[in-house]
Amino acid sequence: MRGTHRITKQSWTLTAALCALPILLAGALPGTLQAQGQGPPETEQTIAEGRAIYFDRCVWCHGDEGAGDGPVADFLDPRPRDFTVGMFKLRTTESGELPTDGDLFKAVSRGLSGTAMPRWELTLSEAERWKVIHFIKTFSPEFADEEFDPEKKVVPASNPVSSSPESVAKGREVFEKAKCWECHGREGRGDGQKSDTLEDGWGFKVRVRNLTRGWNVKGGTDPADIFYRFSTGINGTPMPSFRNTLNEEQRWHLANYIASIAGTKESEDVVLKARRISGALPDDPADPRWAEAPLLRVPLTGQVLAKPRWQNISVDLVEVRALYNERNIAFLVVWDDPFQDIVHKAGEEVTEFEFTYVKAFEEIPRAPDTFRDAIALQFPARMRDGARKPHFFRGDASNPVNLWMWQADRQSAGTPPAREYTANGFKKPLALQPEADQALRAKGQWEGGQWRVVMERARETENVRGDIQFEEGRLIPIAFNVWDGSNGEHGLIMSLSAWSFVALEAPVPPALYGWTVLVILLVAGGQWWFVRFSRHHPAGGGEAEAEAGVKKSGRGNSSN
Amino acid sequence: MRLNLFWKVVIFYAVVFYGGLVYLFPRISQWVVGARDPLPMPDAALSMYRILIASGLFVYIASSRARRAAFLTPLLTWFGQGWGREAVPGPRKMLRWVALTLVPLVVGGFYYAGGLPQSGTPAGGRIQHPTMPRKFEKILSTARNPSPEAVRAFVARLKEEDNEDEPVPETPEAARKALIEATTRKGAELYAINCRPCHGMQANGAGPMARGFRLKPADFRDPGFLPTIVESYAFWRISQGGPGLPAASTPWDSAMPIWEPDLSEEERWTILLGEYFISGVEPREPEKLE
Repeated sequence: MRGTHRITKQSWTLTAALCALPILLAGALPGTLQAQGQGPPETEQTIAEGRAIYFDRCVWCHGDEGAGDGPVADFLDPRPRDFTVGMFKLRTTESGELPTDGDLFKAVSRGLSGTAMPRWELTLSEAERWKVIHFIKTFSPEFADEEFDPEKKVVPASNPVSSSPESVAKGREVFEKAKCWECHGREGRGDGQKSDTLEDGWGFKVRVRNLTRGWNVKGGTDPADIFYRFSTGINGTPMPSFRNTLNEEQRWHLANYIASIAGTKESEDVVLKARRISGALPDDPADPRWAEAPLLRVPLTGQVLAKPRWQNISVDLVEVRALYNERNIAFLVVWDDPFQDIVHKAGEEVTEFEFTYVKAFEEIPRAPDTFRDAIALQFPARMRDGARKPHFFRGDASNPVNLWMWQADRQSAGTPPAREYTANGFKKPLALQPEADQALRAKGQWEGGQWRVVMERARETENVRGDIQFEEGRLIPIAFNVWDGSNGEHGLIMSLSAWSFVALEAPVPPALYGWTVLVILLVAGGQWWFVRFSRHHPAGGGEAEAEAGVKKSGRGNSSN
Repeated sequence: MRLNLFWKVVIFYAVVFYGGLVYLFPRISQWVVGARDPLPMPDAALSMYRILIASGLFVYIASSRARRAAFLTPLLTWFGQGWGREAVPGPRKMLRWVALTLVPLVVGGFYYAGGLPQSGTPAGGRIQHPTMPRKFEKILSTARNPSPEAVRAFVARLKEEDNEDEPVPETPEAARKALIEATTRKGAELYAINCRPCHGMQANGAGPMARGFRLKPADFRDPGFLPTIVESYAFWRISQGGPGLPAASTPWDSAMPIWEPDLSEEERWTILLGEYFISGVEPREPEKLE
């Protein structure tokens, strides 16, 4: 008896210990991550192994000599890092200093959002990533110099302030006071500059980060990541360190504020629900009625389907809403663009390209006052049965698409800004519809680094072969092409989306109201019968009484 | 406190149906197949189980007089007692009125919501790997199977360049291997320029351009994809892209370009060698018909 007791006791202890194990392990985890800041010791062996990995995985962009000049480099903006000059952007160390091993490890592991640098933690083991870092450091002699030891230059981040509405509000004040908006814009959309004159230490134009597109912020959008960007500065760029002008607490508030405006990615849904309203549709992008219409965020990507392919896009998200009435339908499209490009110099357009992709800097002019900003909404020219659609990239010869193209230069010139086109595939030039079929009304407005454009057309037109007709209750494919002129985009050099859908909410059939009332009455009637039935059955809980009740009810007796 | 049969039935239904089939099952399936999200049971299967469980419970209750009574008694008591002057426990009278009002309204609400016109979600369903056109079936990779002339030309080039890093191979077989190795490097470079934007430098279908597409670029590391198709199939997909697919594979949703006009046949075979190298997988061997 005593023995059993002891065994039970032991098994209790064992169970408790087993249950506590994961908790203990979890507790040890932050410690393990801390240790990653150092990594395994550097040896000739690890460097040699890192070299092999580098020449299999990294060399294509970063080049044989680590100078950021691999075969892919010319196609990329930002360009791959040049490891030979010891200048690194994302660090936890003071301005101008080298990054720590931990900084490099983080960049390699997580990748750099919004650039071509992938998250290597997905396919390289931790040990492999450390070996690559050991090798990369051999490209730059500074790393071997005791004098430059980055571990001694780490900027302290001792008292993080956790995010709260108060901290975010204080951070907003710091944003004003430290004049972050001079480059990043009042709303953080990267539109603060009057012109694109900023250059980096490598002689390339600086594209000021749009802080409301958090998924493109290279160093991450955790307050702990953001904190270091302005506490250390970004070497080689005009982004300075604010360590001497802002105290640590202010910098944490600022980090919390920046994290709070990081923005939302695309919708999970692919259907834009157009809302029916009575009366005229809003023709002004600022009309408050737009807020009533459901929003769809559509992701865009580079036009990489046909030459000239383009991967350095500036617009990767469009927000769209739709309202309609008995006769017309109107779309509001909103997207971020740091410069308002309202001229178009056709003579600057480039038609011949050397490679399958357009080179990032050499082949096309990427400056304001060259090409216009524009957007096109794309619909199938006619609806097909079943799932069949035109190809999302401009359709093809037998499946044409209908494009509603709004162009900023036409608006500034006082001509109708939006026109309807037909496309039969990407190989053929867009065909402008005849004047008699042009039925779009449009208005665009640029403010604070953002275009807002409204386009309106009759839901049904006479050109049934070339124009989409908007029937209620149907899923109508919709896609987008966007051009940012100062990013060099024109022709097929653009952002595009795959198909989403727009659905005009069909009206509620009047009969439904009647049927609903009938259903409510039926259920109420059933309840009335049940209550009546149970009142006549004094169920006391016993089976016999219940049985008796059934019999009584059969004779129609009342128990009350 | 012992539960009466009515509540036992309600709880059994809730635990088995909602707890087991709606909540637990998708998570177990997720764990079993290692999916990223829970895998919900199809609606048709759910309603089948709903009917099965309900009819099972009905048979259980209805098959015995005692159980019938035990199930009905609590209901009858709750709804039937206390309409007159008899005292009933607690706030039953009020609760009963609330229930009697809410039930018809809720049922009516569901009926109304179900009757509203639905825009619905677009139908999915596409054949991922359709049969390849016949003309691609028999062709062989010129990059993987270099002709003797190509090998000789390669050796001649190495001799001419006289580069320390690229020694001239001594045997024809070594020369052939060295040529394939060099072609693979060239292929990886072409892959990095042309395919990486969508398929990624890690060949995991997550390149920087992948995000915007509804139909995501293929993940070449997926053991169910590249290793299961022969090399000429991959060559077909590169050459003719999305638009080359049959209608059942929804060519209009595929972002795969038609590379035929932009890359030579040799470049496309070369890219394939690089693609297999970066993905770390081998193509499936074509079946041999004797």
